[in-house]
Amino acid sequence: MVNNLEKIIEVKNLHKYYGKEHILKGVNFEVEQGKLVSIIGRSGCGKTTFLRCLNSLEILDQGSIKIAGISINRNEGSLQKAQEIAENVARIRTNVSMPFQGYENVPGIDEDFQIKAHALRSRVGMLFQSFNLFPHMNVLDNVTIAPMIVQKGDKEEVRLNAIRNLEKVGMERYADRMPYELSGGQAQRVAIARALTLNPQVMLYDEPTSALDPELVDEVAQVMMNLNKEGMTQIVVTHSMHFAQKASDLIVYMHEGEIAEMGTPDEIFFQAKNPHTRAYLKLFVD
Amino acid sequence: MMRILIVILLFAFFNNAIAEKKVLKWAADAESGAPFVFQDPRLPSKMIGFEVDIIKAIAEELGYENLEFIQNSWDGLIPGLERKDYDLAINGLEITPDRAQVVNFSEAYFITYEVLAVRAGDESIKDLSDLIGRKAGTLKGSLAERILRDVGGINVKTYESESNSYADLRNKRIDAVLIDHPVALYYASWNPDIKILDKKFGEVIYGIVSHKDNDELIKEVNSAISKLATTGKLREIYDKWNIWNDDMARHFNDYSITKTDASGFKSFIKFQEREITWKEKIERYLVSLPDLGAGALTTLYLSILAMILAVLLGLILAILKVYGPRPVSIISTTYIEIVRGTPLLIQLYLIYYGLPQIGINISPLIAGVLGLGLNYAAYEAENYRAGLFSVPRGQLEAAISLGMSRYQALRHIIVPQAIRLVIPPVTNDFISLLKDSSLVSVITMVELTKEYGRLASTYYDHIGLGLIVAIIYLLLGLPFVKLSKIVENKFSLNKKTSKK
Repeated sequence: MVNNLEKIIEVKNLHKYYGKEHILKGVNFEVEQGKLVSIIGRSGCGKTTFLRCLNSLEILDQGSIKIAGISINRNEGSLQKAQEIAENVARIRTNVSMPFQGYENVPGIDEDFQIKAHALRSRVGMLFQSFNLFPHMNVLDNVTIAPMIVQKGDKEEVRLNAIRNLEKVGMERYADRMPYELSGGQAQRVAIARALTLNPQVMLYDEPTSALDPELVDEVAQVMMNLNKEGMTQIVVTHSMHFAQKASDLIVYMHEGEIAEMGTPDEIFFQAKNPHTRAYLKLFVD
Repeated sequence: MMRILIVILLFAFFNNAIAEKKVLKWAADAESGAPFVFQDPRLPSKMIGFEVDIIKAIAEELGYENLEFIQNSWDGLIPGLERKDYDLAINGLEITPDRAQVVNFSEAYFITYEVLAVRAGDESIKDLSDLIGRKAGTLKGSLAERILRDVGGINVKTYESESNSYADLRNKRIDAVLIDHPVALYYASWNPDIKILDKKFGEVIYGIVSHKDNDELIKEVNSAISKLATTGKLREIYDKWNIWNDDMARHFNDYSITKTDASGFKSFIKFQEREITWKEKIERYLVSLPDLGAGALTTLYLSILAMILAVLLGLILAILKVYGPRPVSIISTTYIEIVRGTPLLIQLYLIYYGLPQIGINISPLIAGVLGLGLNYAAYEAENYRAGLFSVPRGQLEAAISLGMSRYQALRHIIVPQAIRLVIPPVTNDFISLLKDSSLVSVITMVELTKEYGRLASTYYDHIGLGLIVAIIYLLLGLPFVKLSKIVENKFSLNKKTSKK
């Protein structure tokens, strides 16, 4: 059993470039197991990039990430060197969705690195704004495909586990529906069940409710709060201050590629120290 | 699917390499028509003509147990010989210094000349000089073409088939046709609309050809020809086809009078001359059907094999181009651009006639499947690329986030979605490939279009047979259109109505 106070995520001095642009400027972040952390901030502040770095959908350029027991780090000597490499990668990269494309000749991004990044993804679930259910498979297949082919699980066992997870999100009655037959809220709940089937230690959400009609937001938020009660560590990038305030244990405010402030909802919403945080939150006051 | 393809290709390969008996393989283009080598109008599966009779007589003289005929396009006869697809070619191949460089020629077996055909009643043309400033037709690349061009000032139009040149003469598109005497005799002399002038132009000497290295065979052929000349067998053949002439008499030193009935000629003319009834026409078509059917079958299996190759290779190319590391992506792009940007015909020539020069000898079927398949793979790759691009990038990210490897994500998530999108354009390309497959006639394969060309030159009927062949192509394609609709529906994501 992992100690409740052990840090399940530890990020040190994380830098990320997109070509010339310096997106993450030395992020330091750590969180204990079981917390639900909301990351808020203006568009372009780097919060989504940060989230994507956490499960290696983006490869960090400098610094270290330890998450769910796996450490990946890069040290290119200097930031300038790290940026040069990143620029070079951006130039030869033809497909941004393939995480390691363009990194073929970068020293340090070797097979060992890729294996670790790959293993990490199986321990960290990721949810997207647009759900990204696989449209050519029904709900049950969506949930079972990864354990079937990645973990090569026993078919019946995987199916039962999938049903359990669908029950957890209240979607078990929709097991044989196709994704296009679902509402946005239902689709996002299925996506959560799909991520849960790999038994992740951390769940990452990239604006999970911003594509949803307002009346459907709560059903997704409820699922996330239930997971919080079960002790799942969750990191949520969100624009919904309502959600952040109501559901989070902690809130991170990001500003221009750095973490400006971190605290409990009360601390952030009512006693923010950073002027940027206060200015941002003012936007939401009617 | 891949395994089946390999088995079929291996079978085709070994089938082609079965051990030889004492068989004489010879080649000609049956589309070149009467009286050389053509299909018997009464029984289209049978090859007849004076060159057929000569090669038979030679084979018999040399003690061959069997003769095997290999169809090749006329232009491909000499390259095919270099590939050793056959031992001899006999098909109105004029003995020229250029050709003698690359192949062995036998002694002359036939000597003829060019004659001028004009419209009946046209008295204005007596000689070549009368054609200056007017239009004259002939066969492409023939001696007649050189003669016409040497006159200067004649507007020369060249044709692939003699029937078309005479048709244009009758329709007043051209004013005269200069062509080898036997051709004029068989295709124009009986036609009341056409008059053939007595004057002879030039001299054409035909020889049988063998591979440059095969000196022995050509020596044997030469001795057989002189033997046949001495015994009168050769003369018999020429008389049967009514093409003995003064030059031949001089060459073979045979001034005797004709003893043999011109049965071959008469039979051909009888078939052409009279007005044929609809009933007879339909009977002809019925007689042609087995041959057209065989051609259609060749077209079909060639196209299917080629398409399987194209679809598989195209998918690989597209994935490498879209998802591969940059160097691989560049190689794939280069392949696609080069293959798309160069003519299929040239690619077929390179594969069939070019590869043997670097020691790779492949059968016509494999060359055809490779040529068409490698070519269409480039087009399919572009179809797939469009399909892959239209799968939202979040799909790949979701798959990778679920711990799938790049390969697993492509195989289970991306490609199945892309394939559903490319079914219509791929079907389209298959129909187009079905028709492009006619190009393989340049590499000795007889498929539907080549069979049509042979029959049309035999029957002198391009329109009726053309319609039939067009319908056959249509029928060949239709089941695949239907099949693709079924598959498309099966893969469709919106087959059920939403239950929202």
